Amino acid sequence: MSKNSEKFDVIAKLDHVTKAFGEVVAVSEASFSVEKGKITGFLGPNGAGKTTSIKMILGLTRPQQGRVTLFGKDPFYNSSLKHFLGYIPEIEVFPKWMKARDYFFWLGRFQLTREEALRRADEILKEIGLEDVANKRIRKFSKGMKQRMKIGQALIHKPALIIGDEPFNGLDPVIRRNMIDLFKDYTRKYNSTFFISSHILFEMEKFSETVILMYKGRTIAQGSPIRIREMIDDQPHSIQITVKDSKKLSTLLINNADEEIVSQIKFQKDIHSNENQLIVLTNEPREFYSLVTDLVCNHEIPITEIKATDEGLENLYKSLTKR
Amino acid sequence: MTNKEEEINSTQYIEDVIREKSVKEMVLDQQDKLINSIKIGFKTLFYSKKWVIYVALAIMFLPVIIFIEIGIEEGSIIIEHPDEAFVDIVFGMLFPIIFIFGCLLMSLPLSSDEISDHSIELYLVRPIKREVYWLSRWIVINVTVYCVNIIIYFVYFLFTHAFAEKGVFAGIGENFDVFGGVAIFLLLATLIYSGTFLLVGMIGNRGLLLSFMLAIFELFFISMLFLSDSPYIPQNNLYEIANDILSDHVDFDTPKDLKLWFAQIYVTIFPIVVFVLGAFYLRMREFK
Repeated sequence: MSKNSEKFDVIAKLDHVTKAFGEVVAVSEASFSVEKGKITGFLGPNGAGKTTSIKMILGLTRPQQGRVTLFGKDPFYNSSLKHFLGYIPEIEVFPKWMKARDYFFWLGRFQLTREEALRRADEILKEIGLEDVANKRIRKFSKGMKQRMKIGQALIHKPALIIGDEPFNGLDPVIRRNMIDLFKDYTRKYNSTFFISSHILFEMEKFSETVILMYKGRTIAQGSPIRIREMIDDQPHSIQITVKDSKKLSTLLINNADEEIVSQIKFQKDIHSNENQLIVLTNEPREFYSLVTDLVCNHEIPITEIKATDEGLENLYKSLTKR
Repeated sequence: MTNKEEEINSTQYIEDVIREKSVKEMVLDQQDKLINSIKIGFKTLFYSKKWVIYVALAIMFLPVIIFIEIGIEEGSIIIEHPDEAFVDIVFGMLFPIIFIFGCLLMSLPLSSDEISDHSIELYLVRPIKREVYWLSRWIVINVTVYCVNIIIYFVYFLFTHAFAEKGVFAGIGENFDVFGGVAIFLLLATLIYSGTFLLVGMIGNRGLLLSFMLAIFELFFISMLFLSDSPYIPQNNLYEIANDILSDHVDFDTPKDLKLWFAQIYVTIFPIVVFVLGAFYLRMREFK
């Protein structure tokens, strides 16, 4: 790397950025930076302005005030910057006709030669553990498989910056752990920078080197996960687990955790899928996530989804803004 | 660090990243991205199967068209002048009604559908310029609409000659110039309507409604006396040119004060204006 290149350590930056949609202010005077070669967590409840901030960095929308830079330039008008950018969208974006290998190949062809795109498509399928379904249509995949497909397409060209909008949604704990290891691999092998938004604070804490907290369009804290952890440690958390055998999991949780780790368990059904759900209140989220992962792996309980509920996060961020 | 210093350092950083990645693995010019985007566009259109609906509709209309344009006498169809019958079918029913709604239907997977299912975002976060992306969609929709229509119109051409009074397919060879004239007319019509519906569909999730309204309004105004001579209605200009191309076979009622040179300039400039508007619109458009 040259001298000038070494001096360049901020991959993306928001500088006093404001963005409103009509009368709704999505991002207000937000400022933060994403540093080269690091994994940065981007945390905030729904409606905090995370997705809008991400879309501004991606060059899909422009700020009304302030400056957004990607590799030091305006991303809205510099499409060439996107050679070095990977994006994991929050929603499912799959052209209906594509099979798994097609998806990686055709998207990879925007950056790579034909031979390289073919080679990387097969490589990525192995990395995300979907090589067995390479020739199947994506629309037939489970939610977790689709989530892995979204992650894979962002990594196909080994980008310098990968931006993920809730990339761990819908992944069971084992796959989530594998994906985190994959991210760490890319940082180590290709010096990739990750900017990952999430609801799951304690998963982010495990692998991110910096955490940015956003609430109601403002950046309320930026720092090391340890510092952020100290700030939020005392807050109780509400976690929602979608699981077929909810009784078995709840019994295991009660038998293996004290009152701090599992303070309360409620049973409910998902309104849309009618699947069983557990709502668990915990004062020790880190220990709770660790315990759930162990229980699920040891007792082979298939989990559809695990996520912090919005109410829990709302309380957490409200308390932070009061400080 | 000033903005200028930051830009110099970032440029150097990007150059270093490219060097490290090995340029041989990477595709940097927009021409390759255009070709890739065109291929994706064709596949999206093909698998959306809206073209199948259009083809099915066009063929299903066959009995209606025969009844209205040709007529059935004593339970059998006998066509005295197949070339004139074909031209009557094309300009009486196929073009003004079926072609326009076919254009609208086929443009949807590449306009409002790609916006509403967010796949446009998946492409625009790749290093393809917005203008190049627009060009790829414009090429795909024009080629598809033209090819699908050529096939449909050829089926009708064969059909009219199959029931020729002088015998099955009698005179089909001599009448190929009529089909050639219609093919030129179709090319001009495709360039005008495909781009227009693509642009209108791009405006948003209500692309179908907007396009439908546009199509209805054009047909509606055409049927109104005070606009039937309007030089600004695309159909009037297209019919003026068709009258010139197919003058040996048919004579249409075209606007009396519309000049051929005006119609020729109009059908040349119209698609260019629509293309430029679309490129500009997509360049400025934000995806929130």
